[in-house]
Amino acid sequence: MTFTRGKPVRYHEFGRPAAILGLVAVFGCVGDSASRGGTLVVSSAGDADVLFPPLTALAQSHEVTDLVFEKLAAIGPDLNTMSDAGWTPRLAQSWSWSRDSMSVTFHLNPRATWHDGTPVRANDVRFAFDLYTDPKVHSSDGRDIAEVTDSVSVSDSLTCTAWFKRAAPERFYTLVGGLVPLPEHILSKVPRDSLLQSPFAHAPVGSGPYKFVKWEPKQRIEIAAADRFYLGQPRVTRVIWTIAPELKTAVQRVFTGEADFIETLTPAEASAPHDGVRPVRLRGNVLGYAVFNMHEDGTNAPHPLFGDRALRRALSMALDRKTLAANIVDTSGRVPYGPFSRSLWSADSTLRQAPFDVDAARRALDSLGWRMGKDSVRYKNGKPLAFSIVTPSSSEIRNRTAVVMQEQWRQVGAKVTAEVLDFTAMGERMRAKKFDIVIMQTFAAPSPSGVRQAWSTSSIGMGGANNPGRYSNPVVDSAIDNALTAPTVTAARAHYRVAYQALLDDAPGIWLWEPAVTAGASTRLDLATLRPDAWWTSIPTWGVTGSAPRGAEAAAKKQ
Amino acid sequence: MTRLRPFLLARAGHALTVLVVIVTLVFVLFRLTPGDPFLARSQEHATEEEHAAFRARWGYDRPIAVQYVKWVGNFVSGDFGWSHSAQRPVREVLATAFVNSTLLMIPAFVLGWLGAVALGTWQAFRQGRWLARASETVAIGVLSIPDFVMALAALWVFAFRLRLAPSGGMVDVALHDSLTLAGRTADVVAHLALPALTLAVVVMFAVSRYHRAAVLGVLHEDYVRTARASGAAESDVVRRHVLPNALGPAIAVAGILLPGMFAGGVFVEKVFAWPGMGRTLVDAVLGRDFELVQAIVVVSTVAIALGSALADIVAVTFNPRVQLDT
Repeated sequence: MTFTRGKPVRYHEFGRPAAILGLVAVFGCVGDSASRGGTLVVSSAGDADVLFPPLTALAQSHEVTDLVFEKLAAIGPDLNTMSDAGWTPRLAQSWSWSRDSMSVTFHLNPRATWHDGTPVRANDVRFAFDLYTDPKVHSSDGRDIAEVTDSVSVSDSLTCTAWFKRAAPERFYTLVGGLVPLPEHILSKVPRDSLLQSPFAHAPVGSGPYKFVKWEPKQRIEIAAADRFYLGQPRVTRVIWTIAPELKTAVQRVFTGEADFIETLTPAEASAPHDGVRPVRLRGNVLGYAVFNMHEDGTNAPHPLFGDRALRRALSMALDRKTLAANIVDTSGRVPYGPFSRSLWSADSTLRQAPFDVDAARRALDSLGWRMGKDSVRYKNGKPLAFSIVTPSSSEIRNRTAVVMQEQWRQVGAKVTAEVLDFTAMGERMRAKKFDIVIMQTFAAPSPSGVRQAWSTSSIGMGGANNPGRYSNPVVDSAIDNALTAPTVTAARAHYRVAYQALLDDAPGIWLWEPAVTAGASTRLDLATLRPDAWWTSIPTWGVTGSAPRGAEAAAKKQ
Repeated sequence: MTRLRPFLLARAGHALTVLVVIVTLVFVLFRLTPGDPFLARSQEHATEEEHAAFRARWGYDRPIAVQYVKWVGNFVSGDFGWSHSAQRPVREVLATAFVNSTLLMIPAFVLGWLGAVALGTWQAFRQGRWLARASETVAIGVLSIPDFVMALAALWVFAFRLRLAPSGGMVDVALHDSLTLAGRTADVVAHLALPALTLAVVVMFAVSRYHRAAVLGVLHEDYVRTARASGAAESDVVRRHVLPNALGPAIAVAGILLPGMFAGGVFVEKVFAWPGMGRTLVDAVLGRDFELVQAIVVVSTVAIALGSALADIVAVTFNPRVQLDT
């Protein structure tokens, strides 16, 4: 592959007197960092929360921990979650199943070490399992792991066996995809309820291709290639996340050449040419949807409006989602097929959808007794068809969605108020179940089981973002349960289809848009194949031309 | 010192009263707003019971009065608490933000204030001339523009179009650690230049108006006329007679402006991605990080009280005729 050097120059490269900021180049650099090369600067629009895998909540944290820590095996590019097919050995160099498939034995790579030099041993895997599944730790991954896994036993220093509770088809994915082996020799003394506050959560010691270097909150996180990594040295030798307070600033850093990669560009940014930056299409896994509250504010009584299935369906039909998606996410946006991302293996494009039909919506509302008043608002028993849509102020895309929905529903006689709240206030409203409609945005994991968190009865009360409308439908619940225990992909897909269709028919939500995600990458990057759900996992295989970011090169030349 | 003691005691008393009132108000009002520091994490990762357990563990389930007394006790004993948004001790978060803000605000303020004194004096001496009038119009124009618009304009021109300055942050993340000490200093200065100059311009035009008016008032005083009549050089007149008597308002404004900039420079910090007190405060408020907000409020209030007292003392030092109001 050949590379084109980008034209943009960094401020350091200016020699003119007015460029007082060229001081840096004059003063030069020391050490060998600049000449080692392979530095990648990722521009991020937010800081990490913690760098402790069982408790990381933000994508920014995962980007770091997924490179600092190594799992037993890695999911393949086809994101198969139903078996271990396509999974590649990582910390475990091999694994074998018992005859009844109720246990799997992992054989660890004997050359694997923690970044402090201590060998990775089977006890670390068992320790991690105990830690994840300890209720004091409050790990959501741990809850999933404990649901399918009974225990982990150790045969010898390099061999451990995971014992499953049931033959759940996704048990391998749930365990291996969720569990990150942790260094027992460091963490065994930390109280389980204080892990979030421990120094390890901010300066982790892992076993992955990169070791943690530093984290300056709100400024940068840096990791560097681990010495003698047992699976081969990464091509990118240093990765730095430069943290901006907002997305626009983060994008500009790539356009000015101060950073090499940004995960998200708007369609306008992606289509406008910028020297030295090229758009990279990622396989989108983002889904935007509106959730109806099925119950009256904070009570178990049915919601005065949305407790009525027919009203929900009428409102669904009144929404022109195609126009809405085009308005909100531009031409890159698509209308979802249902309550799932297209990137999932269970995605089904043949489901029966509620059509966009304003006349049918009006007729349905009339038949439900909602009569148009003189003020162009419908009334029933003297009460107006009035409700609000809650969105977080931090999400421009969701705020705009609410405005478009407001206008489209106005045309059928609904009086809609858009409530823009700060993220925490919105979270509190969702926790207290005090809302009419909330617009959500999710990032789909490889497993379609996420539909359970979003819509099953069992997820009510499992955190404000999980089934916030408190929707409950035995058909959906059993179909999801059947899918999660189905022995084959085909059988699971059929069960998911039942669940998806029931959700579409019942309309507890409206699935609004699914944007294609376009990243911005410096032309000096040679990107390998990017994993659809986690582009950063392939960073070790990326190529970076030149010895280091352009500023460092300039400084080195001056010396 | 004899003159200063009652003044300082009175000021300390006032400051303490203001501090108690503000801190109590913020504490109560903030506790009454929806949300708590655990919500962001609980959204997807904790059950209702776990969320309640977090609240109980950190004492958020107790009556506000009990929480307040406990917080005051801890604060007085030097325990500022835990920042749940940063997952670090409040003391650590505050110290970092304070140092970063100091790095930005002090040079910006010094530059801006000195510029204001020079500009205000020049405008007063050139009163009525077209250039002075033009500069006054520019001052009004600049002051009527919100500081974040100024910041965005500076960013667009100098960082994006001319590429003379970095677009934000405190250092070049890829380069900084490989530089010599002098290089690292220069790197920080390079990143500091644009936000500091933006703030300096705002300070300069804001303070210069007060100073110009003060100089105009002094220029017609008898002692200035006498000095000129006695043949003193104009520069001596300015240095010995005009400035010492006219600096009072500029110093008084400085006493309030500088501490206020620490928590109030949020827009400039946000635009230039400078991790200072203002940005930390906004993030803490949005994340309902009660203890961090409280700590920043205390520091800001104390800083404003100190700044104000210091400004009075400096004004007296420059002009002994000024009375310290107790």
